[in-house]
Amino acid sequence: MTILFALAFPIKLLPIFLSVVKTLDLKIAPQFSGGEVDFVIDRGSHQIKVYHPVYPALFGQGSKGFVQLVWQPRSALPSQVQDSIDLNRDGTVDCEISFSNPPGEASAPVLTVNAKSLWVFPAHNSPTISLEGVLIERVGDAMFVRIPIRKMGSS
Amino acid sequence: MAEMFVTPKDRVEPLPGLGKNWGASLLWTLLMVICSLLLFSKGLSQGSPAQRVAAGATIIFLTGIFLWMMRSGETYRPRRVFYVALGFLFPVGFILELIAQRASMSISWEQMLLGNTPFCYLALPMMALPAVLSKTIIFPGSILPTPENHHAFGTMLALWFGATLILGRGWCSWGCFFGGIEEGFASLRRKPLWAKIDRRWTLFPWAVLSVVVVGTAISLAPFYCEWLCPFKTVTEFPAVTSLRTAVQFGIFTTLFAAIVVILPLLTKKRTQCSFFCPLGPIQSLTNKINIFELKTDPDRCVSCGLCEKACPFLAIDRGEGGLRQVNMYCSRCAACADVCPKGAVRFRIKGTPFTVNSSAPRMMFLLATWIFATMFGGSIIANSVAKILGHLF
Repeated sequence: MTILFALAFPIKLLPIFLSVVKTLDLKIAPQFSGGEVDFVIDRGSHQIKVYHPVYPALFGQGSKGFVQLVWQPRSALPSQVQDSIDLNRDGTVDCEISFSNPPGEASAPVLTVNAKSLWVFPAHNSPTISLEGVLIERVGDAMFVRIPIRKMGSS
Repeated sequence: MAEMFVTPKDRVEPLPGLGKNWGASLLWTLLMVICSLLLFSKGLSQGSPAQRVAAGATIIFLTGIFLWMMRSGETYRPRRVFYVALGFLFPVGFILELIAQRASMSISWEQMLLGNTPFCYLALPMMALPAVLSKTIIFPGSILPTPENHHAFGTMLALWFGATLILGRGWCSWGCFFGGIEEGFASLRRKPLWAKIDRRWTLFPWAVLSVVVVGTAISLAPFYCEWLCPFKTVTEFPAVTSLRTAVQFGIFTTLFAAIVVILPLLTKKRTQCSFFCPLGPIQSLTNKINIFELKTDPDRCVSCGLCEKACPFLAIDRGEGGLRQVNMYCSRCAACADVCPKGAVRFRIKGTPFTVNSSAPRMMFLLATWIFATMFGGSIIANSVAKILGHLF
């Protein structure tokens, strides 16, 4: 039986096992994936994907987190990008974001977040010391930005 | 050694060797060649010239190893040649791939943000608790394979599960390429410089497992990968740009030097696997469900202790009257079986009696294991050789 299992594994059993994994509906933790896209802002030459807020925690939600935004295509962006973003679509601007978009890969982009709402932290880019700490990163033809936020009512 | 030559068992004649005649050896080897050709058919027919040469060379290499096992009746030394080759070729191929993609061994944030980080099976123990509690996998990869990431969580889980059913903790001697690195260093000296090891160290991996499970749950990041994995030194690691990443790099390289290179060299034991790896305890538990085992025939054991000295995992216990018994940490490397002068330690199928002069359990184990080894280790060897050839020519 074990020999038959070893023979059948790469051909038949692996796809079956992957189907079982698919039914489990597991997801990559949002602090890595950035969460799900909430809405898209169309700026004509480029789009900004705004993701749902992520508050990482083992149970439920934590008190601090981030909102991921993706500017795409990066090639259509000017060398200095400035944007005012309403992160939760309540009609008020939550933050003003500006970042540099240097050509090539030699220089790192510089990000500044000017918080306009209490639940957004002001920030500027820091060395990417961990995935949770990533604030701005070039990814292919897109610019990934994470805005630090907190749950209202938390310190 | 004082236990020898004092009991009637001393008059136990050794069993006939397990080696087969040329005809039988070649027939069984031919079966494995057919399996290899099926498993490598794509590389042989559709690959680049380097891939075809690598696939062909790997088939010849694996065939030679299997024929050696059949003809000689030995398991441990042929397996070690395969396993050490796997252990050293994997990081070479991996590093060449990284250099080709990014000109660096540093972890790419782009790769992580896109969910393209290859999933490592060493991270599996840390994933279980968050997966059960929140249905999330705390790893910057993908759940199912994609064109950009073949080494998804689901794929590695499937491979590990399949390997575990076939091999139990044999994964640690026939599958896990990291173990091949330290086995290489452990085989350099003829005799250990440091032979006395406190057996309580075999409990330490349970502590490491507890720490990484709790650490991952608290930090919401793969704790072992971030802080404790010695094999980051030969795969990929965060670029050293801050005090935190400098400390991380220091831990990785120190652990690699200490428990993968120096201690195996001094003790001839698999120290990282036996005393540190958090996957080890899980694999040991899977020995309970695996149908194969190495077991001591009490009617043949003369308590010489050679098996205990030979075991790289400290997986042989000394029982009443000096009778040696294989414990749950056995990785089915068969060092004990090959060294036993009376054939007392043998492969057995659980629940069946010891049958004198029967090599059937060993054959069944080897057939199942070698099919898996060809698929998993063989494909890694072929891939790495292809990359080396592509780099050279």
